[in-house]
Amino acid sequence: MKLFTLELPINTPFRAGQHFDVRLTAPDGYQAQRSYSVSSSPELSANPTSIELAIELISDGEVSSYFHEAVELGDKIELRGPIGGHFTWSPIAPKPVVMIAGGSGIAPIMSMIRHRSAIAEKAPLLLMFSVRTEADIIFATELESLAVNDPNFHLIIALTRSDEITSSHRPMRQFSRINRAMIESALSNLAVPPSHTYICGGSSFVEAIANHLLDLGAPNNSISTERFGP
Amino acid sequence: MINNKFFGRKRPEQGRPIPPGQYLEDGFPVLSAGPTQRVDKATWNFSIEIGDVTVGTWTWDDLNALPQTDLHTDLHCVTKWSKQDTDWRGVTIDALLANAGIEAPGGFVMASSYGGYTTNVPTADVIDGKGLLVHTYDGEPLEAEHGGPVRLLIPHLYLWKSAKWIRSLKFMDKDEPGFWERYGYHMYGDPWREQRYTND
Repeated sequence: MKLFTLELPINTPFRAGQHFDVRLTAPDGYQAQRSYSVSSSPELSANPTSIELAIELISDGEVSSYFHEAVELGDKIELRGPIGGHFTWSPIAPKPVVMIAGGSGIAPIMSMIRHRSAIAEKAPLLLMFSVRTEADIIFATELESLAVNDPNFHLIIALTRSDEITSSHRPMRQFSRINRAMIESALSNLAVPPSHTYICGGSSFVEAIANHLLDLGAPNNSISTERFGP
Repeated sequence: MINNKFFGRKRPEQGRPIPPGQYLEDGFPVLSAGPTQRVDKATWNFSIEIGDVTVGTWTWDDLNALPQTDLHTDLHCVTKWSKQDTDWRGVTIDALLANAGIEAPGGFVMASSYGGYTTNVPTADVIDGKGLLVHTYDGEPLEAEHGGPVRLLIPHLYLWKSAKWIRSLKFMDKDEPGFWERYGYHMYGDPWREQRYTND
C-alpha cells in the first residue's frame, strides 16, 4: 500500500469516510475508473483542499499499478468527488465507537480517526486492524502514538501471518485473524456497548466480521460496512 | 486529461461492448452497505403496495407457485465492474401484478428490503419483463450475501437498483430517492448513459 497526496484545484469539503473516483485516460483514449477512500482528515489542509489516498497494489490492477509504478510527482490526475455518505463518521459523544479494518480498508477509517483527533473528540474509539505481517501495518507509528497518548483510543492490531517471536516486545498485537472471541473480549473491555461499528475491507473479511457482530447480538442497524470488491 | 504513462491492461477483448467506465469482472463481488441480512425462507414474505394500501402478499411457497422466468443477462455495478452472461430464475413483476389482479399504476416504485435498504425506479422499468424477483442464480439457490433468498433484479440499470433481500414494492405517484439516491447517486441509473451520480 502506498500513500498519495493530491492537491485539489478548489476547496472541496468532504466528510471522513467518503471516497473519490479516479479516472485515467491513455494516450489512445482508453479510460479506466476506480474509487479510492480518502485517508486524510477533512481538516488536513483547507483552501485549497488536499487529500491523501491509500492505494493498494492489486495484482493485474490497471489503475493501482499506474499509481505504484508510473505516476510521478507533479502529474495531474482526473478526480471526481467526494462520493458516498453512508460510511461516514461524526462524533456521537459519549458512546464508544468500534472500527474494524482489514488491510487497505484502513483508509476511510484512518480519515475518521484523524478527524476525531483533529476535533479533540473524547468519545472512546476501539480500532481493530487486521493485516498479514508487521510490514503491512500502514500508519503504524501514528496509530501506536495515538494509542499511547489518548486514553480513549484503543488499538488492537491482528497479525494473521506473523508470530509472537518476530513481533516480540510490540504492544497492542494479537496473532490471529479477528475472530468472534477476539471481538467479544475487546467489546467486554469497553465501559458501555458501542453505539456503532464501522467495518471496511475486502468482501470476505467484512462478511465474516459483520456476521461475528450479529452473532454477538449487535443490532443490524448499528453496523455500517464498506466492502472493497472483488 | 491524458495520463501519458497509463496504457491500460483491461481493455475489453472483441465481444459485446460494456457500458462506459466499466471493466469486466469474472467473480461476483459483494457490495452492501450493511451486514448480510438473515432472512429465512419460512418467514420471508413480499408485498406490493399502492400508496398506503397493500394489494398483494406472497410467501416463499406462493412465489414458487407462480410462473417462473429464466433470464440470461449482464450486470453492471456503479463501482465499475460488469459481469456478463449471468443466469437467473424468478418471477416477473408482471406475473405478481397479474396474480394480484391489478394493473401497474404509472409513476414510480420504491423497493424496500429486509434491513431497511430502499431504492427507487420508474414503474416502466419493472414491468414488461424488465424487473423480476429472483431466487436462483446459475442454477443454485441465491446466496444470502447476493441477496437471497429473494432479490429484485432490474439488470438494465446499475445493480444498486436491484435491491437485495427484497421485502416490498410500493407504487408512488411521485419519484422519491432511496438509500443511495439520497447520498448523491443517480435517480435513474442507466449504465449506458453512465448515470452514476446525481447530475450525470
